[in-house]
Amino acid sequence: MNTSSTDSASQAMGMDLTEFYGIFFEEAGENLDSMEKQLLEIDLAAADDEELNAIFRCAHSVKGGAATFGFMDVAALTHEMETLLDLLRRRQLVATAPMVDVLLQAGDALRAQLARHQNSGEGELIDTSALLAAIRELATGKPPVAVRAPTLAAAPVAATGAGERELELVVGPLAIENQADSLVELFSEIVDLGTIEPLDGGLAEDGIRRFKIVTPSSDSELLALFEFHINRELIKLLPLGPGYGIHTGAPGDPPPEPEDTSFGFFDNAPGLPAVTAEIVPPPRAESSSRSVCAL
Amino acid sequence: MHSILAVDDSISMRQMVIFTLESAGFNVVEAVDGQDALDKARKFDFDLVLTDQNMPRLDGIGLTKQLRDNPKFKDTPILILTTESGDAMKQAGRAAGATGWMVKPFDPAKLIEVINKVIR
Repeated sequence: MNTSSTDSASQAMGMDLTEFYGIFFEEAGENLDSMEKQLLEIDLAAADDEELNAIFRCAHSVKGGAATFGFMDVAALTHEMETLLDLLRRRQLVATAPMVDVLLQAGDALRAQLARHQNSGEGELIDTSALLAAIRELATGKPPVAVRAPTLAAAPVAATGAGERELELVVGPLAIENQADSLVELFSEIVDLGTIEPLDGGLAEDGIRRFKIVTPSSDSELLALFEFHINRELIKLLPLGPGYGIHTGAPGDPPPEPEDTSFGFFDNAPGLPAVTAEIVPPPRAESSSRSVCAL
Repeated sequence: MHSILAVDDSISMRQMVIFTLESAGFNVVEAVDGQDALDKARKFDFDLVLTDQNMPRLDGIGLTKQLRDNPKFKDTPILILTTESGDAMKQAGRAAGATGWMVKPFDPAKLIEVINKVIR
């Protein structure tokens, strides 16, 4: 069975996330059943807020669990569904029959993806690229495009698309650390895949390498490409950016931590470590939140 | 022992959060949504509230607002766990009176680290 995105930290805490997989699969199945029932019964001309919110929450719940437990293809598809459903519940788009059809097809694809994960990741990947593209297209408010049923994945290719996004790529633990270089080479070999740069100064920690990638490709497309070079279970795609924040001045906000004055670096001095930015305590800037680190 | 109210409508997420918190030595009371959390907050005292955002009946923002209206929870740390990391969600959380936020999926060790920064 595939490992989760929080696996290394969980292991460090003595947690075995596989204990929660059964609960997740059962809960995800119930959410997909509920979503399908509601989509089949929805009156497009008279759908109220609670009906749309309830459908949104089904996709949202599956996405949250899938991302937590490391089923990134499920998380990628539910993320796109959630985006479309969010626009519908906010009345920024009007629900149409083609949207319902695509969402029902996406539900079927999710069941196939979940079944594959329940089967320890055995079997061919489910190709949802056409579904993902159709949902994105519908979310722009454009007329629907023809959607073919999800198929088993063909040889992976780099996707092209308009919107780029930033992700953290975590690879490892690797027995041979320069294995990760093959992923870096992919970005120089494949046009439109995007860019990649190390977040760890090129140094592995306990065999784990971390990169920032900017790409128009979906998670499932990236994973399909990467796993030709590195075992899928050793690859994690995470949101890039602050993992948490504490609102300055809010109840419970702790007093600022005293700055460590026992050392310092001169700007632009020779020999500065490449990871200086990670050593220096973050500034206590007034903003909506104080970002401390990424997850 | 510090007591934490853990709020999430997802059973699997709730179980994982509870396991994480209890493994770190916290006493945990669970609630299945914001309304359930409010009911429990009226009956018990908590040192911290850790809540999901998207939930039926009452979401994390609504829960935070109502807890802040209760003098008992005026200064209690409230952290919102969310899959949304955009500025709109953060602004909404701040406006509601939340102490902070943390994105899902979360690193269990980081969750404990963040909680230990704010819990008293």
